[in-house]
Amino acid sequence: MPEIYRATSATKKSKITKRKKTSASKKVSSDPEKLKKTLQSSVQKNIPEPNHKALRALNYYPNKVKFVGADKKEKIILLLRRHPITTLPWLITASLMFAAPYFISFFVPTETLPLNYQLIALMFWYLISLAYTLEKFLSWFFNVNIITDERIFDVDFLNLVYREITDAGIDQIQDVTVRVGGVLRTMFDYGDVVIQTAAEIPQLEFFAVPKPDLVAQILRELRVEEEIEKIEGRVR
Amino acid sequence: MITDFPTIVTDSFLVLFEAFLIIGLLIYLVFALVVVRQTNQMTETLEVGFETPIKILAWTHLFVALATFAAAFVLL
Repeated sequence: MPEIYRATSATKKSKITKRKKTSASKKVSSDPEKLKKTLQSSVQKNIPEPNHKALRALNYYPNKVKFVGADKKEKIILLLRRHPITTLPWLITASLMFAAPYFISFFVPTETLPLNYQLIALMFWYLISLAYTLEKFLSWFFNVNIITDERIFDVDFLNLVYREITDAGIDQIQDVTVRVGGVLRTMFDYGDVVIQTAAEIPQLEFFAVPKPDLVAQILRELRVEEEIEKIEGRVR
Repeated sequence: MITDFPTIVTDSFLVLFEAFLIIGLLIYLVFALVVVRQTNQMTETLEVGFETPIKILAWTHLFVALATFAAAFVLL
């Protein structure tokens, strides 16, 4: 008589847990070092240490980032914002705005106004300059692109009263295009990453992000990983 | 003081200028409030470990706007 082995619910559970543990350990994106090794050696040196600096434009495995709509198990791989060099035009404009009263006094006879009017007008001008700087800084700081092991997010704060958050699954990515053109972009190694998706919004664009080749490669690795997960039937 | 023009012209100009400053500062105050509100919303949407300095910046901005508005009221 053949021996029939019937797994009890306890043994079944332990088997599933074991399988899950093995699957998790297989996941390249779960470990920053593992993911780094899968990338081309030319881009490996561009990857910063896996920690977090709030004002950095490229954060690899940032540990302090939380955002609306994130899954608890979701691991953030990249946090991107526009390259710092893109802030130069508004920084120059802001500096000129702050310096303007000094130069205006040479051309406009401001001394013809009473002193209290001059003072309040000057304070008002500095407030406007401050508002411009603050608005530009907040816009740079909060317009981020996030790549997790499951999804990509594009967080846009278009102005002070309008925000837009778009996301697409890694498995929905169809095509990734890197656009680098111009002297500044080539010199400082930043560009656009255009992602075609099968999601409702067909295209996500990461504008002027640092090291676009690295971003594209990481996305490719994640897509491969997602494909393997699909085949093995362990899609979350 | 503006001395080359008749008094009525200078007075009218100063009244207009004062109104412009007061209304401008009032609008600015509303803007500063919106900045505080929006900063709170932004930091709730996205936490990157830099929330406290950003909030301090927004609140300082509001207080500076409030102080300027009060100064305009007293000085003009």
